[in-house]
Amino acid sequence: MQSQDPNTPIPSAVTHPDPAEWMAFLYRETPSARRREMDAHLASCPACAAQVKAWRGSQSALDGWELPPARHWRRAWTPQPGARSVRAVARLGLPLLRWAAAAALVLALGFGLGRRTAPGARELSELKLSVARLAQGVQGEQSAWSNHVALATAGAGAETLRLLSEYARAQDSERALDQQSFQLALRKVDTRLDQLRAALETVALNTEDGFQQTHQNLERLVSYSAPARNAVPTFGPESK
Amino acid sequence: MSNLLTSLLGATDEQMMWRVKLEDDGPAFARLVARWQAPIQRLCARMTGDPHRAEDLCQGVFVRAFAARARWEARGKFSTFLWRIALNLCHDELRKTHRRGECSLDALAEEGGRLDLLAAEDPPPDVQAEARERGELVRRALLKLPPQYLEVLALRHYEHLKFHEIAAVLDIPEGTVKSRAAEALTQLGRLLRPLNLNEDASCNRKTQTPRFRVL
Repeated sequence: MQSQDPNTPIPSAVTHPDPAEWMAFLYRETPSARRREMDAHLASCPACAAQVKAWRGSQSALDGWELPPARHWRRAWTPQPGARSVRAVARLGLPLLRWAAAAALVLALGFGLGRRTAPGARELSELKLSVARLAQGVQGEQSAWSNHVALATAGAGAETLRLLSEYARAQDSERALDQQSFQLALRKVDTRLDQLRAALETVALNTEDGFQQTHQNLERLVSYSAPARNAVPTFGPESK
Repeated sequence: MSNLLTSLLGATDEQMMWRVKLEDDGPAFARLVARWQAPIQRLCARMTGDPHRAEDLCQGVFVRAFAARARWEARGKFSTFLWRIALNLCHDELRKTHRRGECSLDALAEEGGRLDLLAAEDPPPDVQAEARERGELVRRALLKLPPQYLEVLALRHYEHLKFHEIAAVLDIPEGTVKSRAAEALTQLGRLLRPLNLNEDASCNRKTQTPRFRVL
């Protein structure tokens, strides 16, 4: 174990599980037979028990960080900048329903108060009529919003696919352009190589001509000097 | 339950990605996005500590996945492929953030100090506020961990991947993953030492006000 308390008595001849094994134990990935052994070890080894308790503390601390509910910060995957996402549309619909509920509550309160203050039959029927009209309006709004949401869903899906295809096409064309420019450069290199080869051949031919000329000159020189060798007197130590 | 039904009756992720790879099947990719948007976004939020930035990162992950569809190998799991892209993007984002100096360690330490004073002198009025504050402290402490420890905790503790699955995502031995998890929990415990007493503190909450701080 890593952080053993020096004062803690360690049972002799005991093999402590290593931290990696304890991790499997803590995240319940240990086979049950081994788990029982480790449980028994925990019960008898204060050092391991302290370490495992510390790790469990960290685990429970991790549970303390909860992400905000998805509907607060998740939005539909719509790369289209101008379009409203499905959830945004749904969010817009939510306040409307709240307002409708609030209006209904106010109306109900008014209705109750009206009854308390002895309303006439005509007023009552008018009130009923207005409530019915309001309910009809709310229903209409609801269906309109659901249509809107369905349309937005379809639009967002189509737009997503369109953007993805565009992205893929752009990548392909970029790759094609790269290949084209690469081939152009290759062709240029080939041309340059051909020119160089021609120049080298010319140089080689000239050099060969030069060699032949030199060879001829040397042969001529040898033929000139050969008859004169006997006639020339030799001076030097050998002559003595 | 719906996930179970989907996995039993619907096409697997790999089958759908195969269609995306071979036929550029848009609807199949849209279904993959619908399945994986929430987990990927959660991972990005855990890695960056910023749920709002996680939304953009999540979109980036799927755009990259679509662009890399030709490189996807049918032998591997689609989820491994996707987690890997997400982690790479998160690491890039963390590097950028550190380069820009946002959420620097010093700044966090200063903020932590302020929070310490606030918590000590003015205890939160209700349990909900206290829980929120604890969550915030954990978020900050996690951002102080080295990214290779943070990613292991994010995948194992929050996304419930098995250690061998994390090893496949990170392409490292399973033992290394477990060791990193142990080190991550140890370091987190050190950073949140007073918070680790939360079990005792919650028992004695009425008699004792715990002092929270990110060390």
